[in-house]
Amino acid sequence: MSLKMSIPPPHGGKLVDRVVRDADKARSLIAGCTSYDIQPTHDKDMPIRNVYREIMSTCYGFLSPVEGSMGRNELERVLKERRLESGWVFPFPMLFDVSEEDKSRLKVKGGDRLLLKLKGQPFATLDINEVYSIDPKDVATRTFGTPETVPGVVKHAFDPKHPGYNIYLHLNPVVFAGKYTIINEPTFRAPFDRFWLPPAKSREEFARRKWRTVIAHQTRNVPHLGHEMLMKNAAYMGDTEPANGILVNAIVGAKRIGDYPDEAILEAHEAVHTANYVKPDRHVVSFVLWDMRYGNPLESLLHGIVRQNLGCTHHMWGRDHAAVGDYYDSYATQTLWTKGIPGFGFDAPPCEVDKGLVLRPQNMGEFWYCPKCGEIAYNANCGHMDVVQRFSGSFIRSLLAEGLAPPPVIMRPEVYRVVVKWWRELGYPFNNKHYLSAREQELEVTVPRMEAAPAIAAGGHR
Amino acid sequence: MSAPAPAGYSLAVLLDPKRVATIRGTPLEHEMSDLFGGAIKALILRVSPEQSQKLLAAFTRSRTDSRGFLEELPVSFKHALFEEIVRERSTGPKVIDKVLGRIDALKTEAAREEDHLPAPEMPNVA
Repeated sequence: MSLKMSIPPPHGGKLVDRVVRDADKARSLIAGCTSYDIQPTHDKDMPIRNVYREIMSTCYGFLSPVEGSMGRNELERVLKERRLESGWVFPFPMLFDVSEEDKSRLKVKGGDRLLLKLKGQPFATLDINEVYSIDPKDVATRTFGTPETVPGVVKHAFDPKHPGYNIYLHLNPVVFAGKYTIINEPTFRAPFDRFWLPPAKSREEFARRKWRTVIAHQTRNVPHLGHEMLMKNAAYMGDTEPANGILVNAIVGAKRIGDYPDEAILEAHEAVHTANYVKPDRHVVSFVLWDMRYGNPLESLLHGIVRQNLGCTHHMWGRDHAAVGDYYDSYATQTLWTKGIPGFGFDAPPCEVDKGLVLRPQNMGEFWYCPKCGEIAYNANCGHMDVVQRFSGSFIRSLLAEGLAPPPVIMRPEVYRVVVKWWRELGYPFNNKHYLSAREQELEVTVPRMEAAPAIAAGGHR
Repeated sequence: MSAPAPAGYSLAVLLDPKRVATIRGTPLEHEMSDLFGGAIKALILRVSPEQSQKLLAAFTRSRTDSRGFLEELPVSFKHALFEEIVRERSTGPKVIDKVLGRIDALKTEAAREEDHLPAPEMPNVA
């Protein structure tokens, strides 16, 4: 048996591609459809979700084999077993939800096609096969688990302070289930355009670079040296040699106040290779559109699916992966990928179950600065606990806010330069209300004007 | 992250060259800590549980980190705290209380900070 690996198949066996690129076909698909304007979901005037991102990620195959909004049976199976009706592993409910008022106004039913408009232009369709009601609080609670249903992993009950729980809590009570199809491809604005590498393109790029093994690095942060060390050292895992490539895949979407702007996150990671801290021929930066659920082990499952679909062979998992607060155990993600979490339907790791992932986990500890070692040291090596200094994102944000330049032992100067560039552009170094609201208006995309659209019945809006 | 632990927390007042010059020759000079191999100088204060609770309640974006430090406090608060430290020539609990005495005015300044923070000069990178 060869020890050499190769780029894995997509999750579910086939990449979903639900994008119509022929304008005439698109126009015929939407002829006579009732239309619906997509709007963001808000909580206390702040945008927390925009379903357009889920539609994009579905139709371009990031979430393969998911093809649309889930039906009632599939929702139940995801909540109980984290599996789709087809049996393939999937962590989160994916739902197109509308209000009772919109349901009454739209008057659509199973078998109808709904035209979804974004920024006033035709964007996608939803071929409705089921209309049903949900209890958002029940969906939110069962999505994330409770200390009783997932003991030892969920430390305390979720509440509206958790941004992911809050997303599900704010669902409308009616779900239209069915497949999405993009009929008018949006165009990404700068700087997102040069980082847009959907699964099919990502796989082409890996093939062009002759990469056999690729390790994924999840990010929602501007990288400090601790991140960089995790990324580089995890990449020593490959097959018969270290990983050929490193994919930094950022989550772009609704974020929390105080996070870094997505534009800065992408360009800061790019700076790591343009400044040759990792050679550009070994390092790619791209993104996926997703409004973070901050679901720690569940989020890692989604990340695993997305990155396997992008063509990665390995995924690095760290402490508190995609976590906020202390709802989950700090090592919940590593527990999932080491032995499974029965409360979430996994008696074994998701890479060791039928219809699970083939992407391999690389669980990592922590890098810290040790003045005695005189280096950024790995926690399993360095035992100078009395003097080590941990990297803290909060500490670095405090330092930046005071206008102090972080020393190179904390942040690469080229990365800091990107932070300052976007700070000057936006008037603030982190996400604030102004940025998040403006960003949700503008989105990451423009939607081309669709010429000579047929007469469309006006419907509701979310 | 934002729930205060009973033991209280630490708080680092970072010292840029200007602040280092201000405390040079005072007793505070001997309290300076080196962080990250001396790349950062700081004064480290202990904050009581009661003081921590008041700060976390006053500044909603503030949080504690895995090192047990209070972080993401407003810049205006940090400036006021350094002023009190220099005035009192101390990093004892009294300086935190003094700043807490100005908390309403600092909250107003912090709200303004949420809209705009002046960016530093663009760093030159070789």
